[in-house]
Amino acid sequence: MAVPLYTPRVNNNDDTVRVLRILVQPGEAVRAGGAVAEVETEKASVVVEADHAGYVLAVLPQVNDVIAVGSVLLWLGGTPDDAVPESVIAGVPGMGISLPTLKATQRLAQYGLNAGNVPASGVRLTARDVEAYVSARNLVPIEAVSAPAERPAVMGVVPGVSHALTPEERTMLRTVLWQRQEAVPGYVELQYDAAAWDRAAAEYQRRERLIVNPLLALIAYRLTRVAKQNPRLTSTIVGEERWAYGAVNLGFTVQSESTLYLTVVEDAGALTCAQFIERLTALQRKAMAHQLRAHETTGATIAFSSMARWNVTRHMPVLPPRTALIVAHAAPSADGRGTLGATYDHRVLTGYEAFSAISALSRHEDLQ
Amino acid sequence: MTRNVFDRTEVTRAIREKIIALAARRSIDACALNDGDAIVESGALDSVAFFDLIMWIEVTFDLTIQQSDLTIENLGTVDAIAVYLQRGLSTSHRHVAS
Repeated sequence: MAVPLYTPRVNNNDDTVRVLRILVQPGEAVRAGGAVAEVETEKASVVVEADHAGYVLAVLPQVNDVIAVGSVLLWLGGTPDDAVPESVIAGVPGMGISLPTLKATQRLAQYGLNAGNVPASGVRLTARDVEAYVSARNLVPIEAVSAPAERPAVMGVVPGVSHALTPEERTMLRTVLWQRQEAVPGYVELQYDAAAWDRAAAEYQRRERLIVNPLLALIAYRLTRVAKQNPRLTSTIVGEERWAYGAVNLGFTVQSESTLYLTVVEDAGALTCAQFIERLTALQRKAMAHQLRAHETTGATIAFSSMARWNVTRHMPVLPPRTALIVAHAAPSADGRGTLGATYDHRVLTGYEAFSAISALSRHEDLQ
Repeated sequence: MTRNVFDRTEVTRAIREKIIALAARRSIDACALNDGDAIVESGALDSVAFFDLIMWIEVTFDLTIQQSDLTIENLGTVDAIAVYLQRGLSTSHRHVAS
């Protein structure tokens, strides 16, 4: 049977706490008194302990979430297979997810979010919380996406079944619609010495004793270096202004079965090569297992996509919302020559700037 | 079904068969791969297939492979994987699932 573990009060005057660390994950066995999380207020931080032994069934908040004292922090069960009440997962006020205000509810709907996605700054989830969340992640409203479409005549003639889109499919729909409706995409490509990159990756793999070929991760890391040198690459247009992002958040596409994820290495520009590869590898593993958290797939400020695995020799990827550049990596030809392409937002970058970026990317530098 | 005896022969066979199956998905015949052969250099698995193999190991043997363990020493050959599993399973007292 599922039993809730409630968020403790840290100070008499604080009705909320911020989650500093989650120390357990679903499926994990915990003993009575075992540490499960660390929370803080402005005055103190405390380790939250399980009040009895059991298996972690669900952890409701994420790190950095501000949650109400007395709300459900996590659910424990007598077995790993005990069911958590559905209503809790969906988000019930006072049960770990803050009750949204009316305006917040409207904003959530506008962006296709639910209250569980967005951390509240107080006891109630406010419209300002939602706006801060979507702004930080460059989310685009979905009204255009969800507007009722006129059903084509063929649907009345040919029998069929309507399927609701999965969250991933909705994300992809938003992405392609953003490119169609807002960006002015252009595409450039160049030929380069892919064999030299292969050798550099093999050398890196040998030196670092890596089990997984780091080629794509190294090229993506190189892209973060190039973006640091030219901040225009991590910019977008808002109204008639160019918004230069303060961080290089590298989006990296991962195909897992039929789902295409854009995993995001946050603040990749601040990482060393080894740190970047470790973070990206961890994200790839989570994507393959369909275990990505929302913040791991949002907020890209530049992106990289490869279809070399399927021997695709050229592709023109769609720009993730509010980015100006996505690099396309493809399979090299038999003579060791490869093609690097870039889809770019012509409102932000010129073709020459996009070309210069992939030209710099074609050289394997800064890999220490 | 689970058992609490680490059957090295069976574990290496299962790993080898999984690698062969993953390679076959990429139209690569890895049947000639020996237990001591370097998997990376054999070309049987690309990075995504390696992630599939890692996930399969985690699910099949009920353990979590840490990021820092993704090295040639631990996972470079079928034999190395078996040794790594034996060490990890004996440390965690978890059982080998079949």
